[in-house]
Amino acid sequence: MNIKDRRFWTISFYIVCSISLIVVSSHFQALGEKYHTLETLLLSSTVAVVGYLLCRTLVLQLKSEINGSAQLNLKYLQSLKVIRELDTKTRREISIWLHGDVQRQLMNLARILRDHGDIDLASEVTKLNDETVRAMAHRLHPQQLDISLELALSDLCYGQAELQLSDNLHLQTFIKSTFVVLRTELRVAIYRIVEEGISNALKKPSTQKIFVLVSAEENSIDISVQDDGDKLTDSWKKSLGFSLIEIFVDQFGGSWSISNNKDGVILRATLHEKLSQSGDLISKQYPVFSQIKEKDTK
Amino acid sequence: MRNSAHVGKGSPHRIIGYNIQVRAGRKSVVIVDDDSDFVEVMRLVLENDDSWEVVDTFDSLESFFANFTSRFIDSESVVPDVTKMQDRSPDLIVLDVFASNKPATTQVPLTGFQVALALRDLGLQFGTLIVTSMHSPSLLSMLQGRHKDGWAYLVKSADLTSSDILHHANKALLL
Repeated sequence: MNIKDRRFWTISFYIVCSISLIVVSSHFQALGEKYHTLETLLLSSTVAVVGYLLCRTLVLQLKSEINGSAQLNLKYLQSLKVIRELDTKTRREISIWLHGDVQRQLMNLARILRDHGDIDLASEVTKLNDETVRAMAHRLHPQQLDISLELALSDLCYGQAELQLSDNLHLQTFIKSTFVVLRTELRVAIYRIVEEGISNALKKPSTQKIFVLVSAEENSIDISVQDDGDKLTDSWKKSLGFSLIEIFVDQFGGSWSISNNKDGVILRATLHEKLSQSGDLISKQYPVFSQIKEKDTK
Repeated sequence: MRNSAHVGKGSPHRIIGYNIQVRAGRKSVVIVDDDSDFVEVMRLVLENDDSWEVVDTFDSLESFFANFTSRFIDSESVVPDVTKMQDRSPDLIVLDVFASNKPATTQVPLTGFQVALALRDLGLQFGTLIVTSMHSPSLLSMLQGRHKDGWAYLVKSADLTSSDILHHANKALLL
């Protein structure tokens, strides 16, 4: 029996009981005062039974609704996770395609045009490639993130913010071949939060300095973007960018805040992730490499 | 993937992993890039200059790494001989940052950096020219700081000239 049916039968039962109660009560009233105690007893018992049955049915209904809602919530969260993963994956695939095939074709076209003496058109194609296609690919998924978070954040902050990373985040680019591996979704989330923080700070003409700090603890990543621009006023409203931060923070069960401090405005975010993965990527991909190293050590 | 010659430093007749000699006075180059047109441009430019010889090209980092190491495995062992590798590394390896043949969705893709660092980690000495279509001011600045360690960075562009390629190849050579 589904919830709607159960509700229908509960209400029907309640109506029938109420009508019966009124009928019986009127009948005893008609018999006179002699039957008053019996009438009260019957009335109380009926009310108690009906009340009990009604409560029991309602509790069952509520339990079933809570279960249904929990299942629905779980399905919602699962769908959200799939959508986020799909979004990251799609952005990355399109970006790689733009960076790879599309740029390659455009560069070849420009070379051919130049060889045929059409310098102006070749320049137009080069411009389209360098300014539009490359920029679009970068907006979708900065390729630097696939080399290292350090490099991607350095490029993001280049010329507009000072960046400081905790020692364990200086990874991948030039630390031999051993490094901590942050999964793609986490790297994307950190990058997007910092990007949003910087963009928000730059919206204020009074901002002179922006300081970005990203540090990794054992179970979390802490991000802060401090600017020295105008402070938040009471009429401050959440922009769309902050909703994006909320989405990324939710993804990692973290928290975020934006507030005034003595220097200006600070945006803080914490992402929860156990950073236990580390290692030698080459050895993982090529077991023979580990053997070479072992032999070399011996 | 194409195998041709492989080359060593110093003596012009020294035979190394690829069993083909490099002409006297030329420096050996291995190119790893999935853009075959760019590889051909590099080959033409470098070989038209009398100081270079492209001894091998690969279309993926994975095939380069596997093929390169397997050339130093002798019949009695399954593990490459590190001493031979160190002694016979090419003068220059041109590596595309993203020439991995793994799907784009791989969590951590193999990059040209990792391959170069892994080989250097084994004690191999070679110049590394990183090529990419990605414009990264930080990467440029980092590699400029490591110029003396034999690192250089070339951004692929339709405007790239022969002298740009030769300039960067020379810049990447170990001093």
